[in-house]
Amino acid sequence: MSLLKSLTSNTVQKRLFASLRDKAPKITPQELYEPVFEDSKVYPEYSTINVRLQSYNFVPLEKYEGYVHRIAKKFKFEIVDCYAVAAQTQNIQTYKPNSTVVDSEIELSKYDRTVRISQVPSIRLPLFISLIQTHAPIGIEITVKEHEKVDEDNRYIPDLMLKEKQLELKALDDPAIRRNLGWE
Amino acid sequence: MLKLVSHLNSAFSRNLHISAPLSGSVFMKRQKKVDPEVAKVREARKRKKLEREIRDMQKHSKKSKPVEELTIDVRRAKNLPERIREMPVISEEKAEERALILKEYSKFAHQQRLADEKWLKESIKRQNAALKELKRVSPDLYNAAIQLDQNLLPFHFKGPSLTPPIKGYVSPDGEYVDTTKSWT
Repeated sequence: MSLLKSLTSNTVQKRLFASLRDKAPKITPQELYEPVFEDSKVYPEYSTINVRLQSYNFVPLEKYEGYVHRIAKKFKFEIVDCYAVAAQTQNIQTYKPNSTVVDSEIELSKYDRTVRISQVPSIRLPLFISLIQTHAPIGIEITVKEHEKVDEDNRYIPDLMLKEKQLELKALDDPAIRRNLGWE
Repeated sequence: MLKLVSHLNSAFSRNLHISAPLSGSVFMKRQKKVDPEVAKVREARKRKKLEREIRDMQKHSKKSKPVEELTIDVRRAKNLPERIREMPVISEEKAEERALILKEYSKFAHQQRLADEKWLKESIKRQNAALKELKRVSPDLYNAAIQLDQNLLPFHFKGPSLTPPIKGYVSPDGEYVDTTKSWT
């Protein structure tokens, strides 16, 4: 009987029922003692980005800053900080025609607001920028750039005493001064 | 210096008198002999003191540049009661007209916002679909498409102006004087 079967068919009997071993969950070595949290980020992201808004007109600037903040929330970016920087002031003197007699003196200040965002996927940033451009108010200047240390330092008054002390500390490593210390 | 002295001492112990500045120039200060261990301890103490001072300063160091538009001008706050004005009385027809315009405007603004949100949702959906398809078709192109765009940042954009350029406008002569407060 089996000889006849092996002569007529080349098939091998397949068991399609799962064995107990197959039913057991397959554990990788990483997830043995800790659960694995998968990173759901698909696209590469920019590091922190500063959206700087400058304008001579204060009211639309403040409203627009709020708008940019709201749009960034809609895009699900992480908003690190949303701050003001001291305004740049200008004194403009207009002269009467064909003379240097001062006609009028105008004091203008250019107000400065920044929204700092992070976790910006590479493909969403152009969408963000085009949406912001569409709703830009009159007279605003928008600068979108990557965050640098200088941007953060410009917010604060430089501490001269601190700088002096740091220079002194560094000077201790200077070979010319080390010779005068007397023990090398 | 000390090594030379000790060597000479061992070689010609009784023949040579060695005093500190060997050259004996008038312009060299008479160097006091400092015990090397004492000097070492002195240097370590100085270093520690400087480091501690720097740390303390850094704790209290960050003073942000004052933003004038966010501070209260004390002088003007004091005479605020003198400058309170009463609201002008608006006739009923005008008030009605204004209310109607406000309604129309809020309707328009609401429609704008809905359109924006729809655009945003659609764009993100289409981006995801396109990238998924691209990944399926060619993984190399997909990887190139996902990369951060180097030419995008820094991005500078000026909002629209109030009017188009005025024909035949003669700008007056004058000077711009930058009066921004610098803290260096």
